[in-house]
Amino acid sequence: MAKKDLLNNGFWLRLDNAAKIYPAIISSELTSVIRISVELKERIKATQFKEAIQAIEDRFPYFKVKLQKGIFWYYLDHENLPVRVMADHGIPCRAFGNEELMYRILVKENKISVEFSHILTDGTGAFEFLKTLLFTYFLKCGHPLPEEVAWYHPEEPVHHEEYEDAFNRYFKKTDAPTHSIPKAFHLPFSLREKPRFDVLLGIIPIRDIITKAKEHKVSLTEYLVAVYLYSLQEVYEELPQRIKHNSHKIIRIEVPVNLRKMYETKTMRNFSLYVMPELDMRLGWYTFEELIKEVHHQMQLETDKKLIGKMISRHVGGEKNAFIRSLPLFLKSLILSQLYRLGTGKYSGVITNLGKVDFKPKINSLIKRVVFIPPPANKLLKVNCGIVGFGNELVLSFGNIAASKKLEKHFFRFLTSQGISVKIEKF
Amino acid sequence: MNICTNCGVELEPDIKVCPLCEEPVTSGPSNDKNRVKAGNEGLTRKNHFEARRMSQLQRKATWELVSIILIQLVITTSLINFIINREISWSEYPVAVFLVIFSYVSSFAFLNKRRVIQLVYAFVTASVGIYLLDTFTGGNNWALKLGIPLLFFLNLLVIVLLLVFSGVKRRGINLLAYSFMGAALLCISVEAITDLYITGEIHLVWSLIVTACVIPVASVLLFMHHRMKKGRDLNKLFHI
Repeated sequence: MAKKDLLNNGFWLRLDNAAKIYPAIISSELTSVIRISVELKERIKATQFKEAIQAIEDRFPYFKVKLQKGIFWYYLDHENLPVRVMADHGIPCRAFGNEELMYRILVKENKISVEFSHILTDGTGAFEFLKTLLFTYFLKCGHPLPEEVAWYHPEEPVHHEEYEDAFNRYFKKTDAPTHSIPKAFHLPFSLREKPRFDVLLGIIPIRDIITKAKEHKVSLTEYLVAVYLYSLQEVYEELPQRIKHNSHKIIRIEVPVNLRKMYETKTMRNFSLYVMPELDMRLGWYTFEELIKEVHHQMQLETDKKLIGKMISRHVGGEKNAFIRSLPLFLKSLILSQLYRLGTGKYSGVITNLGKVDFKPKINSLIKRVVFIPPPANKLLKVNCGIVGFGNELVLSFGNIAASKKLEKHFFRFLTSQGISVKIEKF
Repeated sequence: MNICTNCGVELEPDIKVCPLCEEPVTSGPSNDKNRVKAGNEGLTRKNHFEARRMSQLQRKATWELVSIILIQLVITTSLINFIINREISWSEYPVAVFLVIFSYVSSFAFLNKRRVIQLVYAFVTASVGIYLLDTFTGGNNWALKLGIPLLFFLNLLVIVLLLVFSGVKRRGINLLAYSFMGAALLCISVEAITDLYITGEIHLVWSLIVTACVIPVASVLLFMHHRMKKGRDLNKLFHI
């Protein structure tokens, strides 16, 4: 549909299924804001960059929205505000105000970043937006673009699938019962003083870590999830007996899965669910070999399309329940915040892999690094980890709100013990 | 090469303000990243606000005119009262009204503060004025029990309405609805205060009828305001 027609028709959107929980829980600390940054090899040219922003500004009308309260649900109402461009100072992933759009562009010397509220989209949507911005900027700077890379051209019309709620589209009611899962272990660290969010980057040669993953016949994500679980196991084992006794004995990680790879959609809004590999500490110490085998099989099993379909059914089914739908918004928000609290009680951490970024050699040669920072974790989880690969580097970002960096230490120490060099940087 | 001192991007030689972060090129690093933007917004708001206010000269002229009229009226009513009754009795009430008007006009004319502060200041001076008037004209009968409470509730409602108006995102007939609701509340307070003054107990009758009439009207106005807001679509507000 032409962008003008879309906007003239009083464009508004229901929140997608995954986004529905965020308005009930967001705060100045728990912002639900993700960031993707691209460091260029050359300093940003202000005039060309401004032109690029202006060129793509109306390409994504479903992002130019403000969160509004309805009587029964929140909704996204089109608001023709200019996209906010800011100098990149201070902590990343800061909350958005009520009167602004829920995404921003940040610049600093040679680094371009975009920050999106999870209410709007997930990592893939944010990345596609950044790609369009970056490619348009490169065009303005006179760099030819490779034809084989797909991206959203500023002039092309908006496809209705781009703003669909794909959860709804692929919802199929199932009667399969869901099993409740026990609460998980949480890092018993005290919190930092506000503002709490602190990001530590670990930069790893991508070839080395892929070789290691191949040695164990697992994927890169599975390998990193196994290292994360192993590090959590070490933190657990180091705890004083009294704290260990009172802690939950299951270590479980939430690993988001991009559903676009399983279900055909062009959606730029949230469309990811998760798998949750786990360890039961009551069964004793897991060697890394035992652990990686567990992780591999659990992840293979849980990413089965039928099980994912069941999860979609459970999530969307709740939203479609007649009683829940008829509750006024303030009651829904109370229920959703409790559900979120209960939900995060069931896993010990989150590790998100955005995948490997490849813009083909000509464009890759203009870029130094890509960084993906997950949203700040809540007080229970404390640490989130985001991963993205580009060129010869894999960048791991640990966003931490706790005073201790013990988990990160264990994680990187394990990698170095495996002969993988790690370069630590503060974001 | 020209570099922005705030965001560090490369600028073309003739650029005076960074097109990205809006930092002036000549200045050093800024603590307030949005200084220019915020400054412009402030200026626009201020101009908008000032445009609705009179100039100092106009305010002074208005004050002089109102004061002369009020003084003439006070003298006239007091003289008539004195000539007819050989004492100051009923003229006390118009004088009280003039005192109140004078306090408010003076506050708006000379106190260069926010409207809420002006109202508070005017309330205090008017209250002192009517208290003194009541005291010097045969004992304290009505100022503390009637005049000052009425004035207090009137001021309170006006201040609340002003705050509500300034906080409203989209202004339209919703302001009329809020004013109606304010007027209904004022009626309730007037009846309660006068009841207490006359009979010693509160027995609300007419103000409740006024309120019962005003609430549906205000609700319809608010509904219409939401209906007109950004088009015709009520689905988004009520989608279930």
